[in-house]
Amino acid sequence: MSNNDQQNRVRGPTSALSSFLREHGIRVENRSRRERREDLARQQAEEASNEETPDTVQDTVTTTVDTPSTTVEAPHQEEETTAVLYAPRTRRTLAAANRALVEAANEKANNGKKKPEDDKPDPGIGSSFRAPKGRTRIFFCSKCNKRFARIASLVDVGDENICPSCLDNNGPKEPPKPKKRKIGSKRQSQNKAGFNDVPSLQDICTDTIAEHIDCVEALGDISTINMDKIATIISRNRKMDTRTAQLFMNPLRRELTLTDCTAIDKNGLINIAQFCPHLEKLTLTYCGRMTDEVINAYATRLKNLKSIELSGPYLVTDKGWESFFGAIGSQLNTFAIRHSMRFTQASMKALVGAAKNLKHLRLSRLSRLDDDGVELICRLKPLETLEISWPGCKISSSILAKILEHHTTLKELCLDGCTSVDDTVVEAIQLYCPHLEKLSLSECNEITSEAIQTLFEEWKTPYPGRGLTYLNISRCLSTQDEALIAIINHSKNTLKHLNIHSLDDLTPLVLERLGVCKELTTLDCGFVRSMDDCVMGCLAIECPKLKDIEVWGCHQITSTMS
Amino acid sequence: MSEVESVSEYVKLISSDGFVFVIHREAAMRSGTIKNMLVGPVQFKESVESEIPFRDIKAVILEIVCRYLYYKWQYEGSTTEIPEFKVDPEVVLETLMTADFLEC
Repeated sequence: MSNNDQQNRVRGPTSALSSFLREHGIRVENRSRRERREDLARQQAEEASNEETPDTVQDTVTTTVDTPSTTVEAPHQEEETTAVLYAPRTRRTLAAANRALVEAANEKANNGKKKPEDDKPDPGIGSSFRAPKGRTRIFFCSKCNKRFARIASLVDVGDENICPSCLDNNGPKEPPKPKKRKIGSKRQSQNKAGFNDVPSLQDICTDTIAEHIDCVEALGDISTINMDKIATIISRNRKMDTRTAQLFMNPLRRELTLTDCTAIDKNGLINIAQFCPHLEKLTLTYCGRMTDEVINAYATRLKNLKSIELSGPYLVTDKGWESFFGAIGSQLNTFAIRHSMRFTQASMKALVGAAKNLKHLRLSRLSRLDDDGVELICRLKPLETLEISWPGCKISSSILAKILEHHTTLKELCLDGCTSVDDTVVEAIQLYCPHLEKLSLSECNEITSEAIQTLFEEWKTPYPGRGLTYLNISRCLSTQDEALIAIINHSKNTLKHLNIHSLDDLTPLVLERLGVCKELTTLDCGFVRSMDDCVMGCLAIECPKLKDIEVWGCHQITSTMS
Repeated sequence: MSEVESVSEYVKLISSDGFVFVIHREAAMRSGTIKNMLVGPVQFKESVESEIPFRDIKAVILEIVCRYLYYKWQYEGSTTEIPEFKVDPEVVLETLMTADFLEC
């Protein structure tokens, strides 16, 4: 402990502070001036006899050094330390240490007067697990009282302690402003040619919003409609994350739609429940980070939740769904889920058991939902909207027919991608779904043209002339002209959206008859190869409300149509 | 400059409250929407007259957009560091919606 204990390796008990410092490899450099002067004097005397050998690094605070050292550090138990410099194991301090060493060597070579503390071990050789000693010392500026560091070897004992900024400016130095970390990289993005990309105005605005997210008042007053637009824009630019989502958390909100929750983590999703407790309608797309914890938070905190639509909550397990439905299922009137392989028959059971008031149900792209699971839908009270699309397992027609038998009040039915749907289902639609307004049977290839024809000829509607508003029979490849004629006759007064994509067997005559549908606003006739300029012209004239036409693959339409 | 000036070097952007911003055509082209209005197989009225009225964009916002278009024109293809373009937080939400509409 004392200055003379160079050879003695016995060490007594040390204080908590010094053992902490020792563990972390912190060497404390500051000592009293008197001791420093004494040491210097001693060094000068001993320097003559000792050669400088770089020592291996010791990160201990005690003075155990391998080679006979010249200076012995004053014990650090004397708590004169005014500052502690933590010397991390970085190349920077290594380099600085090396530099100091070299300077020391030079100085010694030059004048031999100024003595650096050469006993400091050279950190540059090999040993990576020992922290290098810092070569810098901490001083306090006598003018502005701020801390600053100097390389120890260059410190002259008699130097007045003035920090560099005082030396330069002769004025008070402002504390550096804390840099606000911007969302998104501050680095200039470079494209392949090496040019710096100018950020788009949308990105600049989104970054500014993210910066000021905490002071919402600064962002001004915006109506809810525009906030939804902004949510869409931010989502489209893939900038929606936990921070920017806060902009849309408002206790007064009753509806929330976030179209890209990819970057919103679990806590962000839970925040929705915390900050918007009065939510009635929640729609989240790409919510892959949703877990059981999140869904349970929704169940417990969103007391008014009536409608929930989730796309992609694949992490939520059956248990999660069961507890969710158990808690909140009875007040739901809309439930929609897409893209989950963990939603199985068990979850379905829980849903059917609890959701007494369900009116709208959408199950899409659920890979583990099979016949048995789907059959449970029969137990629900008659629905208004039913969608079972793109199931992972083949759902048999008989089950679907059975479901339709139970739900006679259906207004919207969607069976996209249920490739096993055949004529029995179509018959069931005819028998049991008189109130249907929207029908989608995309990709249901097994349906024959006659079945469709019969459907639309025999279908009873609540009152004459009332038909479908939305019809999608794309990819029902066997559809012939007669079927389309039947459709037109049935729904000509009400049809607004028609999708006949890929129905290649249709002829121009029939297509021209579409002109009778005066309410038609959207038409998708992609790959209907008989669609040509005449027909299109005809339709354009006869259907005054026609707004969106998709003609992908109709090669007979030429540029004269523009 | 030829005597028949089919394409003017400047275009006028007119805000909803009647302010007229006269900017270089080149700068205006940096906005996707404006570019489509001025250039294309079909000659729109805006292209012929070199005037684009915006019935929904306020002058304050349109000014920011014009400044941005010049900023973009000046610094695209630059190899040196580009200075930051700051937007006032009070108008940033409206600016975002306008930027989305103008595709810039």
